[in-house]
Amino acid sequence: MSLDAEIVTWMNQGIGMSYALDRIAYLLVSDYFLPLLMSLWGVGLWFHGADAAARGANQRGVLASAISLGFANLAVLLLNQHFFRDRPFVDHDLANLLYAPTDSSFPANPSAVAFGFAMAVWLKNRRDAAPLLILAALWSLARVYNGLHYPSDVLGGALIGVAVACLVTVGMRAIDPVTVRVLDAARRLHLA
Amino acid sequence: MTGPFILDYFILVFLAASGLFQIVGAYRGLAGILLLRRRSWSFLLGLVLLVGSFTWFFLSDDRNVPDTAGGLNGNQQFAYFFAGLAAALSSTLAIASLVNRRLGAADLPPEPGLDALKWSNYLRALLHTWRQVRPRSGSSAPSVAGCRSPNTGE
Repeated sequence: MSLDAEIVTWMNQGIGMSYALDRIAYLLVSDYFLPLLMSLWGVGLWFHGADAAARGANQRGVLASAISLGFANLAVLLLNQHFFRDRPFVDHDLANLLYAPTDSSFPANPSAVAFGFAMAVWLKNRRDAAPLLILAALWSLARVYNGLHYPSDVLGGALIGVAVACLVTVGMRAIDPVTVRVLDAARRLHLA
Repeated sequence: MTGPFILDYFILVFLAASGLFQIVGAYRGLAGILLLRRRSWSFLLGLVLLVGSFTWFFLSDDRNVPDTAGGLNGNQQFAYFFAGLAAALSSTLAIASLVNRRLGAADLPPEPGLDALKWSNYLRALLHTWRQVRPRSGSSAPSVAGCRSPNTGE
């Protein structure tokens, strides 16, 4: 058995041992809970900042994170056209609190979008991005715990997300006048 | 399952975002978006809305639904999140402008962006900005209402 499979099998033994732990895992692995929390954190950051300059930096980070999310999703979609890996619960006898997805295990889409989102904010505001990075890590861990991904899928997804966030941040510097116009328009409407 | 799930998700985002606006407004002193007069009460209202909406959504039914069985895929989540967010923002700004209708009735400080909401309700701030940028009849130059122009001596 590969190291990947050994880790998943070992972690997955926790399912069914405690009702409370299962409920927490059920929530963390959900497609809706952590993504929504992260999105709301991003919205909060849009309004947050000691002064206009700090708020402006946060808003640029939030814009970059929304764009990164889309491109990370696209990158995974393109990779899935060429690579297919069965989910751990297909190859091994594992318990699963979520439904059984049929798409490729590698790379892990949740890790790609979550780390892409968090990293784009981190590049602008490290302190306020820390909760996002923790939530992204929790989501990824929950996916492995539930036998939905191998650790290498999650690692691959996270690397894709981080790379996309860095590229988007650099790209946004190149089109800074556009960003300035968008934020300026929002400021005129008292929304930024 | 699709209809109710989408509606439930929309309500979740709407309530959670409404709560978030109250929390952020109270924390950053944006009186113009608060639904209650006291900041501490608005903060509490926001917390109740945020925690309550999540508790209701995730405890009322089985929510781990795949997009192939009535759930939402990534693109749909993105779309419904923005729909819920826009609905929450517009209703918060409209209701808060009514609740705080006297806020900013005195001379409005010329603050740009969100900072205007520290001293004014949203509709008044928007009206103030519109008056600043609209061209005056009979003149091609934009005027600033309530401000004296150094060139014309108005």
